[in-house]
Order: sequence, then structure tokens, then C-alpha cells
Amino acid sequence: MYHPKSVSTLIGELVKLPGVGQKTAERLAFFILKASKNEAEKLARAILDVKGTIRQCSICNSIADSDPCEICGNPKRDKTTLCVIEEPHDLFAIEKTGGYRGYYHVLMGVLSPLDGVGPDDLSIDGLVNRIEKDGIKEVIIATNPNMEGDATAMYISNLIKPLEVKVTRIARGLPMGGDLEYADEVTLMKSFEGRMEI
Amino acid sequence: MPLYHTAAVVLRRRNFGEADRIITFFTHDFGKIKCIAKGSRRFKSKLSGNLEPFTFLRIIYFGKENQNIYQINSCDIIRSFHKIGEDYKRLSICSYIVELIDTMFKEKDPNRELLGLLLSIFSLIEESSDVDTVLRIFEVRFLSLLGYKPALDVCVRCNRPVDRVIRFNLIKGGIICKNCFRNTRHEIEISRGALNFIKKSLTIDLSMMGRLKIPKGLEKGIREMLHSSLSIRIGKRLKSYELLISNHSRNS
Ligand SMILES: [Zn+2]
Repeated sequence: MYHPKSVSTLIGELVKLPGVGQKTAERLAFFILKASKNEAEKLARAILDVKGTIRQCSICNSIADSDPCEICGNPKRDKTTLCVIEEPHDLFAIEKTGGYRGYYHVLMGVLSPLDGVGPDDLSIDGLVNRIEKDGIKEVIIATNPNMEGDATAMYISNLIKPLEVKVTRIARGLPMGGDLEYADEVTLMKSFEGRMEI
Repeated sequence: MPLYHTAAVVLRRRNFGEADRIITFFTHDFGKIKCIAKGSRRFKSKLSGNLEPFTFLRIIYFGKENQNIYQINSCDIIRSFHKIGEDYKRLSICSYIVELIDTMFKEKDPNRELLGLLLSIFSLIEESSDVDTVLRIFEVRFLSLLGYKPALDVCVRCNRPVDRVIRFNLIKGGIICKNCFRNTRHEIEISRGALNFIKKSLTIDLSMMGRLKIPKGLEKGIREMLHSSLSIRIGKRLKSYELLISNHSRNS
């Protein structure tokens, strides 16, 4: 399809976004075209602002508008628990549940030898430091439930156990709302390993 | 569009788009292939738990014959090898094995011997307490599969028996006698014990591999000799190997 140059530039930028294909990019571009100048400026400014003000929290490594971030700066949270996650977006997902009141530590990745990511590439020293000086009693490892996430959890667990801290791993089990017969084999097996008394 | 049925090992996977993954398989019938697993990063997907690295499965996929990326229809686990991921060292070793295969094999070039070797090696790595030796055996067998089986019977220059081995020529991939030895960086020193280990690795039955041991003191020599032999054939640095070596120096 033929587009004026400025429109095809916009489509070319939108198509780089995750989950956006050519068709969606075209739809978004035409939506922006039809929107008022004010609306378009708000969008453009929001994009610039996020790049201008966002920074990395020097305590937990998450991304935030301030340093320390809102969570690390909140003294009302539970100081004895620390939740270890791979990426900042995991923090947002857990916060959305509203069920966790402790602090976080973002590793900034996961052990993945095939991608050339080893222990030195993750924020593991920072984690050990925090456990040693912040009086943490429990470390909840919430890396993704896959091969790399498990390997990272085991590696960290072996490393910090000597610090006399309780180390737990988030449960792996069956997703809510599903039927047992449709669960994949590994999930089903892990749900037996992680069974609990009721 | 044709449907393909085969058995396969997951070599690697990478995220693609919003919730998809692209999986590289080594299949029994078609060699290395790439497939897209739609929606497989969602917890609800039936594919999600089944496509972890090293898993051995039966897969059904489809796509046009000359396509580069097929689409997975369904898969069933034959064996998961999930214990490999419970230990970083085992994961590092298997990642290196997978990177070797991914680098050295073109797509759609089936090799059933390799698949058999791979399954035996994964199973040993899950169980063995001496995973370094298992890796060395794999490297020897892999060289041989690529057509570079170490020549250990007679001197590769003069074809005469070698009574006292002094050198191994990395380019020719075989031993050199005292008379033919030249002072180049491709001819490295090698011990009698190391040669014996490599000889045994080449011939031992896959089910007996767990019994083979590297004699004390020879670990480093054998590791370096095999790595140099492979490096010459690969022609590039492998990320996973560098991490493996940095683990070594971390632990010693
Ligand atoms: Zn923070």
C-alpha cells in the first residue's frame, strides 16, 4: 500500500513495538492521523517524558520515576522479606496482585549460558549485600518457572543459604481455571512435587 | 499444507512477538529445524511446559515444504531432562553441547547417530557426579561424527607405528611420531594416558559411558586438547564455552 512519507515513517516506528505487526501499525498510524493535534502531542510528550525521567533504583534495580523507587522508599513494607525477580516487569505483575508486602530485588536477567549470561552478568553481589546488612529473614525466589529460572533459583539458593536466611521458591502448580487432563506433563509433575498439606 | 510427525530434542528457544517462541529442534527425521510455537509463553498454553531446552518429544508440525520456519501443532514429552536445569553447572555443559550442534549442523541435515548420542549424554549428565568426563566423551564422539575422528593408531605423516607419542597434530587430527614432529602451534604435547582415554571414548558402548573415568592429573590436558581440536573446526568463539571456562576458574 502507498503511504505519504511521513505516514510510512510513523508506521515503520510503530511496527518495532512488541506484538505490533504491519496491519496493526497501519491502524495505529491512521488513528493518530485522525486524532486531534492535542491528543497527538500528549502521546508524543508522554513518550519523551518516560525516557527523560525514568531511572534505575539504586537499591532494587527496578525502573522508577525516583531513586530510591516508591517501594524501596516506603518504610511501611515488610523489612524481613525480599522477593528476587528477573526483570522490573515482574515487579509490576506481583504488585498488581496486592498480596505481597515485602521488598524486591531485580536480578536484571536470568542465568542463560546459551545467551552468554552467567552469574557475573546478574545483580547477585548486590543481593548478597542486602541480605547481609538489611536483616532479611526470608528470600522468596520468583524467577520464571522454566529451565533458566530454576537454574538461577538453585544457584542463588546455594549461594545464600550459608547466610542463615530462609530461602523459598514460588509454587509451581496448575493454573487456576484449568482442567487436570489438559495440563502439560511437567506442570502436572511439578504440582505433585510442590503439593501442600490442607 | 503437509503435517510432519517426528521425534525431536529441543536445542534452544527464543521469545518472539508478544507470547510466541521460536524453537530450534534437532529432529529424528529431518535434522535441525525451526518452528514457531504460538502462544507458548502463556501459562494457559498446552505447549508452554513442554518446550523447555533439552526435552525429548514427539512433535507434529506443519508448513510449506521449503519454509524456514514451521508451526508446531502439538507435542508430547517422551523424556523431559528437567533435572539438568536444577544445577547451573549441568545447565552450562548442556548449553555448550547444544551450541556446538547448532553451530555445526545445517538445517534439514538428519543425523540419527547424533540424536542417539545426545539423548545418552543428557541422561548421563542428569545422573552422573562426574559431568566433566561425560562432556569430554561427548566432545570426542562429536568430533568423530563431524568426520574428524582422532587418528590414534599410526603417525599421520609417515603412517608408521608410534611407540613413544610426543605430539598431536590438531589440523590433521592425529598423532605424530618423534621423527615427523615439527615445532608449530598446531602440534601439541599429549600424554599416553590422555590418548588412552580418547581411544576408549571412541569405542565404548553408549550405555557403558558412565564407567569411563579420566585418570587423575590429566583433566586439563584432555580438556584443552579437545577444545583446540573443536575450535579449529568451529572457527568462532562459543558464548557458552566461555562461561563454562569462567565457572572452572570460579570454582578452583
Ligand atoms: Zn527500589
